[in-house]
Amino acid sequence: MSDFPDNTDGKKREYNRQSESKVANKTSFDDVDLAVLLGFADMQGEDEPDLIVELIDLYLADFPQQLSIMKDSVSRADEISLKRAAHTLKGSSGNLGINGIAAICQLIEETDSSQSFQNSNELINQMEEIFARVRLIFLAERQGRI
Amino acid sequence: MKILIAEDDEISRRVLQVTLAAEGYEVVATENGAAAWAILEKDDSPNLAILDWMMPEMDGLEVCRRARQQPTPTPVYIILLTAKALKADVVQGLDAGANDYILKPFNRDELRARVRVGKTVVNLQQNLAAQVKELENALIQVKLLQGILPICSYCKDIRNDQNYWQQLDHYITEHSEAQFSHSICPTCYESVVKKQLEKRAEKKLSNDKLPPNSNLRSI
Repeated sequence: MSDFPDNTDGKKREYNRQSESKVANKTSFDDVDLAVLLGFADMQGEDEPDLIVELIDLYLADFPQQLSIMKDSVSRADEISLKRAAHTLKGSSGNLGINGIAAICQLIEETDSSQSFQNSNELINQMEEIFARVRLIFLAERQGRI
Repeated sequence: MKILIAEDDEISRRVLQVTLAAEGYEVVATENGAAAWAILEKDDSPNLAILDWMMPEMDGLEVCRRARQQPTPTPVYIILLTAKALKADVVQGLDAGANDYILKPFNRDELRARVRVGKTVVNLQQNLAAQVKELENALIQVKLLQGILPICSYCKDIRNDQNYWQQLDHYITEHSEAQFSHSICPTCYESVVKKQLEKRAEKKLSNDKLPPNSNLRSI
């Protein structure tokens, strides 16, 4: 017998519980693993602009764009566009060690279509909060390098 | 070695680029599948390509399929970058013609290791292709020495492909790996050389009988 009075609601609650749990687990660690970003220093070419500053600038410019696409996709109920933006942001965040945001993007990507838009807004808000903290860390790192 | 990257996300593309450039590879970066295919279609295209699966205009899977339809002795080694971790997706990627795949976000050590494997395969393919070419050329030379050769019944010269008469030894040297060391067989020695030597000895003997200042000595 189901633990939930209504099967659909039960699934929703279970999904929400799992999502929150996953996000909580992922974001309970540091928002960004700076060692990943600083690891690029080994690849710095001679007489070339600072690679880490370049990557920071790229990310700080790219995140708001992808976020805007995701918000717009949710408002238009465009699941394909939402998941594509989440996919892109997951890749770039993961490559720079921003694991909290990468984990949330993965959740959005994995969300099945019937649940997609109910949870995405909340997840997007969480991402924005993480980004605000990551941005400060990145700007401080950037400041120290120029 | 030249490596092609096709990745629409600028940050991932840059990370791929610097990681591979730091390993000494020459990197060509593109933003979508169509641009990647335009490069792979050309002669002297990169031997190894890293293609993102999901890209605008043409996805990595389609680039794989097109690359595999090209007849070439040295097919491009393709690594598919994918966030699709399901076995069915991996099978689909490999079936489309990818040699390998890396899950996104990728680990840079894994990327370097997989590219090294690709480089080994590319080198093996190139060596094999060079050896096949060498064998084909040798076969052409062997074929040239087969069939009917027009030869002069008297001087034994050969009429070559350009319709010129050529000495037999020169012809064979040009059309094979054979080289000649010239000497005289016993039969020819007896019939030709020995007679010439005897004739020369006789001439010397008669010269010796003439006075030293005789003009007949030079005749």
